[in-house]
Order: sequence, then structure tokens, then C-alpha cells
Amino acid sequence: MRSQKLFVSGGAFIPQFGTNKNDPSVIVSDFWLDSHPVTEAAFRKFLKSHAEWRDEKNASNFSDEKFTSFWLRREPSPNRVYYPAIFVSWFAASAFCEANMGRLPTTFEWEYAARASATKKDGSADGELTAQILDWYAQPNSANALFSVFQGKPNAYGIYHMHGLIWEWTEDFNAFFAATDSRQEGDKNKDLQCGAGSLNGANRENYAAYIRYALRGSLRAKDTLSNLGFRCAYDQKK
Amino acid sequence: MLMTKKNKIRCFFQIIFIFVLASRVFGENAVNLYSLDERWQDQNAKVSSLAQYKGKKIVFAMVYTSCQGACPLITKKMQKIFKQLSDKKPAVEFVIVSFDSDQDSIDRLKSFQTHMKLTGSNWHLLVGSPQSTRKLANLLDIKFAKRPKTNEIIHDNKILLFDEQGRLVKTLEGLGEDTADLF
Repeated sequence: MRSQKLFVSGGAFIPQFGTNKNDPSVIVSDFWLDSHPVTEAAFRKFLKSHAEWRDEKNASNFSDEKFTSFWLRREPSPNRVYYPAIFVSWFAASAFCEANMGRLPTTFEWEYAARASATKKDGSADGELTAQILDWYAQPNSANALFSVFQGKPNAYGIYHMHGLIWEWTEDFNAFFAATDSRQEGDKNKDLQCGAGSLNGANRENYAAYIRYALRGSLRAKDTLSNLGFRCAYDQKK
Repeated sequence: MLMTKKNKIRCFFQIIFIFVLASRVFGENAVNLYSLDERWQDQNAKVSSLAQYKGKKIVFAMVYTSCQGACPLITKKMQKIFKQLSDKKPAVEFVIVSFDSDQDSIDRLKSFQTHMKLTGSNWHLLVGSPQSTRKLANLLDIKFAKRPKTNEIIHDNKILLFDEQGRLVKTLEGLGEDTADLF
């Protein structure tokens, strides 16, 4: 089985954060998205043909010690070949997607595609979907939590594992500004941030979205995690 | 606290969390301005990478020209630093990179330079592709977001100081910090 570039038809939706309170919807244009997260095998193939990413000095500028240890010093395990690629920084993920004529999806694109349940492209009314996602978030992280990206079932777009396997990088993962201190309602820290916006999420019931935004917002571009990977987006099929 | 498996796991993760925090404080290399090889165009249409500034100290910020909020204040703060340093005549370059890769043309950069009275050949106003802009901002830990529909850009207010080798030596966060005795 292979990852495919799947067409996601554009449309309007209301993201949890990132738009103006008075006009909270955003229009996502048509785009293509990888059906599966990028695998270890695919990332090792990228490393083979990109010597600069096998250089430890470069790795320390654009990633962290865990990347170096996992990808450059350890022998690959044959069991993990189709596991999602983890311990990759935003820089590494971006470089991979660029090398494959793509890019990281924007947060709006990712959240738009992630609304889909098994049967509906807009699964936001599907309470069971949110419950399943929250069940996954509640599990402790352990080495056994990863599995082959080619297992499991797709959502209504044919996309696998937007939930349930790993967190994923987006192009603008850090581009969301909540107030630095939430105890004072209306106190936007104008000194630290130019134009910092509201800290209210669009949908207070969407706990899963709050968690994703918090996770992504806590990352810096050099960081890696044992359960953070990525998939690529494309502006055209070929 | 009972050392049940659940509690052991929790304890383990708390310890890991503390190690991660500690490694962030103690274990990192200094950020280097020249580690990226992106291309930029300046207000005089000259195309080059940031490496052209090697050998000089750099005072650096990211703004955008249609910014109503803090950007004029950031720029004024850079001017204050410029005036404070000009009598010592050190080799310092003032580099401003635009967040707004779509809207900030060379003409707009030039107008901004005139309007903000950034006189002298050591002011460099740069614009690059959206990808280059995001990469540089991420390298320097400067967050920014373009609001859809309004094109307003929300961003961190930071002025960064680099040494002659491009190593980050100081970050001025927010608008309030003092500019005396920087180098």
C-alpha cells in the first residue's frame, strides 16, 4: 500500500482560532493532501539523498538531539518501516515536503480536512468523533502506541490517521496568539505582541481542537517529539 | 502517593518534562543568523543572502509597512539604537525583514525608509518569498500570523542583536526594554 495525494475540495469553515470574532469563517482553497502520514521508510529515503540532513552540525541548527540520535546514530528497526516518521522538526518536515514538490499544510487546511468523520466530510456535528479523539488524547504516551500508517480506516476524504496516531506539523503551527495571561479578561499584551487577538475559541465544546492548538502552539520549529510527525500538502496533483 | 503503575508513569513524564525544560535552558547552540541560505531583495532591488552582512554586528527586526500598531515603535527603537551607536562608529548594520511577502514591494520598502527617516547606507529593508520569511522567523523564534480577509499581521515584537559571526547575543522583547549599553 502506498500514500496517495488526495484531492480536498475547498470550502468555508469556522476554525477554532485564527480568525476575527466578527467574521470567524475562513475559506480554504482546493488542495491535495497525503492520504497517510509520512513513514519512516520515506524519511530515510529522503535522508539518503540529502546529505546536509545527515550532517550533525546542520541537524543541531535545525533540529534537536533526539533527531540526531534517532535518525543518524541508531540502526533502523525493520518493524518500524511503515510507522509514521517521528523525531522530526518543522525544518526537517518542511525540507522533506519541498523535496517532494509539496509543502506542509496550513493549520486551516489541516483542521478543515480533520473535521471529517468516517462518513461525512464535515463531521463536526458528530459527537462520537470528538469522543473517539478525546479517548486517544487520554492514553498515556508509550512506545507501543505507534503502528503502521497503512493500518486502520480512512475518513470521508480517504485520509488516514488525522486522529489517533500522531500529532502533525503544519506550516504555521505557531501562528496563533492567545493572551499571555488569561486571568484578566480583555488584557491583551500589546507590549509583547502587535495586534494580539482574542483568546476565545470558536467552539467551546471542541475540546479536541483546544488540545491540538495548545500542543502545536507550545512547539518551536526545532523541536521534535516521539509522537509528532507530519504529512505533506500540494497545490497540484503532479 | 501510591506507586501504582499509573503514578509511576505520571512521575516518569514529570521528570522527562523537567529534563526537557532544563535542556532548553542549558543545552542549546546559539542561534545563527547565517545558517539559512534564503535569498532576499532589498529596498534598492539588490538580491542576496543575509551572509553579505558577516563581519558586522547586526540589529535586526521583522515588521511590515502597513502595520498600524507596534511596528513604527519597533522601528523608532532601532533608530534610537542607531543614534546611540553612531558616535562610536562601530560596524553595525540595521536589518529589517518584512513579514508581508505578498504586499511589501520594493517601492513600499523604499517609501517606508523615507517616511520613517531611516537615513544612511547601513539600513537594509528586505523582502523574500513567503517560505523564506516563515523559515527565518522560525529560526529566530519570531511568531507571526496573517489574519485572513484583513491582511493584518499579528506578530511578536522583538529586536535581535547578532555579533560579527551571526550569533544571537541579545533579544529585546516587547517595546519597553531599554536600549542603553547594548554592545
